[in-house]
Amino acid sequence: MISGVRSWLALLALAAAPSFGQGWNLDALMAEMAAVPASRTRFVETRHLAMLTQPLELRGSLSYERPHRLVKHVETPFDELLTVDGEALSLVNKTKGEKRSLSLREQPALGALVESVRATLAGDRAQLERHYRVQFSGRRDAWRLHLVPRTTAVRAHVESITVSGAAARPQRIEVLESTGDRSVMTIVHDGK
Amino acid sequence: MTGSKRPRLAVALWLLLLALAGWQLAHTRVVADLGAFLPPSATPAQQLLLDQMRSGVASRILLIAVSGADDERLAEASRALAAKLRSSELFASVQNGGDEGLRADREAFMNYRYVLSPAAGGERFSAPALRAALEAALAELATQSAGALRAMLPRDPTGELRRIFERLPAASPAKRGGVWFTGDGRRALLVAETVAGGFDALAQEQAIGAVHQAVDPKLKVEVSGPGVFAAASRTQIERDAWLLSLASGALVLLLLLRIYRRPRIVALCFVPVVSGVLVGTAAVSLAFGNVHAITLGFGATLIGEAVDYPSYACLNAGPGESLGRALERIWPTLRLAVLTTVLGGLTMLLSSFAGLAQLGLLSMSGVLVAGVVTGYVLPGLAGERPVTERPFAAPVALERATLRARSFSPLVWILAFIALVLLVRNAGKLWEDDLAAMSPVPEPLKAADRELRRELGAPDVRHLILVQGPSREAALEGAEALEAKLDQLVARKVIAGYDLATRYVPSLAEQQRRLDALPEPATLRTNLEQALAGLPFQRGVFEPFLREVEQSRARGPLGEGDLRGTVLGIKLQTLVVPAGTGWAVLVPLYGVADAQALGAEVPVLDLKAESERLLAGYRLEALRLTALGMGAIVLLLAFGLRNARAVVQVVLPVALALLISAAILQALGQRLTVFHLIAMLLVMGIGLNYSLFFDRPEADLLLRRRLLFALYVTCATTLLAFVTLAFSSNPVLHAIGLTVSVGAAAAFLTSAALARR
Repeated sequence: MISGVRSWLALLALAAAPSFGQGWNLDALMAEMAAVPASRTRFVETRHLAMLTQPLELRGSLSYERPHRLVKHVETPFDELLTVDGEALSLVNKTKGEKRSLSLREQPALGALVESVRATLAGDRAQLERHYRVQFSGRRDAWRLHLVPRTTAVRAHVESITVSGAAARPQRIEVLESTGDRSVMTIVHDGK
Repeated sequence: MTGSKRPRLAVALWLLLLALAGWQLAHTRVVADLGAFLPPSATPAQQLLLDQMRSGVASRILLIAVSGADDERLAEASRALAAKLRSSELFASVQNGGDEGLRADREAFMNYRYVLSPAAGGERFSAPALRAALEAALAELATQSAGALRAMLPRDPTGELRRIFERLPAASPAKRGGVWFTGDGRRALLVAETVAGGFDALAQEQAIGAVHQAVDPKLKVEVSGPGVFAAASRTQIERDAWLLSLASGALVLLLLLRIYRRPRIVALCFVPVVSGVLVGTAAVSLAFGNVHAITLGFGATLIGEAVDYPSYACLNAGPGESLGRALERIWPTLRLAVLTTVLGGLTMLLSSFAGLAQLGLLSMSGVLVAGVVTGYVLPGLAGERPVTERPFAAPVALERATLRARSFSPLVWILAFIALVLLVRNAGKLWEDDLAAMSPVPEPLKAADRELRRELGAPDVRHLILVQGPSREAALEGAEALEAKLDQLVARKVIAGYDLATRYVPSLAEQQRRLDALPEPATLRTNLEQALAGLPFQRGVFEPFLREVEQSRARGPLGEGDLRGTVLGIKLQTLVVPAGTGWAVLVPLYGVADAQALGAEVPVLDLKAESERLLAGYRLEALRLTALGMGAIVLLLAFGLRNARAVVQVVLPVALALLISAAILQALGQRLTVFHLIAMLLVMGIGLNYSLFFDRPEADLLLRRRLLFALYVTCATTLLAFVTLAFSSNPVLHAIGLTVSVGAAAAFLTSAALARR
């Protein structure tokens, strides 16, 4: 009797937690992301511009706060703070002493770019799929999301975005721009 | 004396006249240009302002708001509406904040950046200057906002395009989904420029109709702007004039039926006024080549007085007496009454307002025809049959009260004195000084327009500088020379800002100077190579730049036609306008903090003061013409009454009544406009009738009583007609109705109180 109950529980556990098995998928990734209330990481971003003979390198921090606040702070080679909260985007460049703010509603293409990171961190599959055709591959400790913009307006800027990581931690975001320019952001999580 | 001698000939001539009038009317064009009711202008500056008000680009702008759904659907509706209107031939341009509407501008800016950017002259393309620009660009390439820079850098390394954009007016509404919205996000906003002038009411109506048709009927569309004003007041005036004329006509008809109890007599009473309207309108159409829709509406009310002429005769008939016999007795007085009213219209006929001149001709010819038809045609139509078998008489109590009114004559003098004191003390508030108030636009429409304008960031301009020149270029060069001075005024906080056409597109001379400063291709290439030494740019990245500088040199300066279909082009059309034989550049000034300091440094036009001056000048003309009309009336009365005292006796009650009614109108919060003045002329005509008839010597008490009754009836019909008109929601019709109601009542009472008999 007891062993019967046990095997039932084991079956249930398998069904409820596919992450332990072969069936680890996009929904599972999203669920795991959605469980993280906030995160703060450091990044190194390398930009390969076609017009330059050498890449540009940016360093700074990236933080996310549920449900929709995302801050990207570039510290070197200049000081620039990009804050997105809901629809509001602000860009403060301390080096140049400039400040701009706008609404993502005004700039649908920019909104899509923001969601590639924010919706991924939020674990919001619906939002992600609203802007991109999403292709998931890999396993829990080495997954990869390939994002292709749905609208031509966004495709005019971005060809594709590839986010890869392990569990609830994105580690690398590669953006391939329509101009042929490319940027790779490597994310370093504190402690790991 | 009257037509009873040769009735058939009179009737035949009348029918011929009606036939001719009918033929003319069948070939008449009704126009709806509201500008005809704007005052004419004395100075070139005023002419310019009025031309702009009438048909300038500003007058052709329609503001459109779409609401009634979530912002995503509204943004979609805004795009669909803009696309539909752009494909229509009624609109020169449509803007909704979307990129679609700005594509032409971007292209023009891009192509002409080396003549439009203020930095493009001078040493911009020397090796050191290029080096500095490239280093700055390199530092910026990695920033978040560098997307546009990266795309543009190979073509425009010195950032001229950005400089051009920075100089464009910044104020623009909030955006959602890429198009303009109100701050609360409930309404999508569009700005459309019609092809037709703003005062062309019919064409504007068509354009507005196209806007409404192009939007999903489930959504709410609001349209505002001068064109809407024109169309709305035209339809409202027409509708009100017809509806209220019909209502008051029906009321008068009922009253007359009650009194005469004979439909035949009542029908006869309407013959003169209908003839008057027909012939008067035909006369206007003959003299002016068209008839203004508003003239038509007002004219009918103006000669509404003529409906009283037959009554004076009919009510004078004793039992068994024919109309001809009664008319013969009353004719000398009636003739004088008709002629004084005709002269009253002279004031309007000589006015320099085209619209007023039409009204004047319509009322003069209409009243004259109505009077002549009453005197010469009605007896023939009426024949020998008696008007009535019973004696006409008013209730005894009413009669007694009227006779007692005479003991109140001191009161009339006291009232007139008080009125005079009030008018003199409030002389400053007597006249309407706001040109905008002259437009027959209902207040709610004006309020809606102000709100939409605020949302679109289009501020009201009060101060502007007018730079005139014999040619477009001369005016532009004059305006260009002002820029340094204006910047200095902004720095000193005398003004907050200004809108100068040459900041956007310089004069051809300045453009040529910038073109001349562009280096030869070989020099530019050498400079660029020196500047690039040691910088991490790929070889050949800046080939597009080298190519496009050369293209710019070949393309030459930006002409007016190169901006066709652009938003900037529309803006320039409002700022650079033909003026008389030359051109003028308008430079609106914003946030004027110190008007005196400003006036001391640059010649400033204060639009408010200018429009007040314009109206004051017009008032002077109106008053002078009114004095002329009054003088002519007094002369006519002197001729007709052959007695100076009698003239004073007739004119005095009317003058006092006008004084008292002006004070009453002011106490009611009305500011007098041209339309009140028209109404006052009408009051004068009606008042003189009362005064003449009250003062008429009658042989016996019986005749006297009949005359009194006639006066009651005519006063009642007048009040019925004009009190009805006062109920109109249109400010103009309301003003006329109110003024005539108050004035006619006052004139009746003063005439009764000051009558000799």
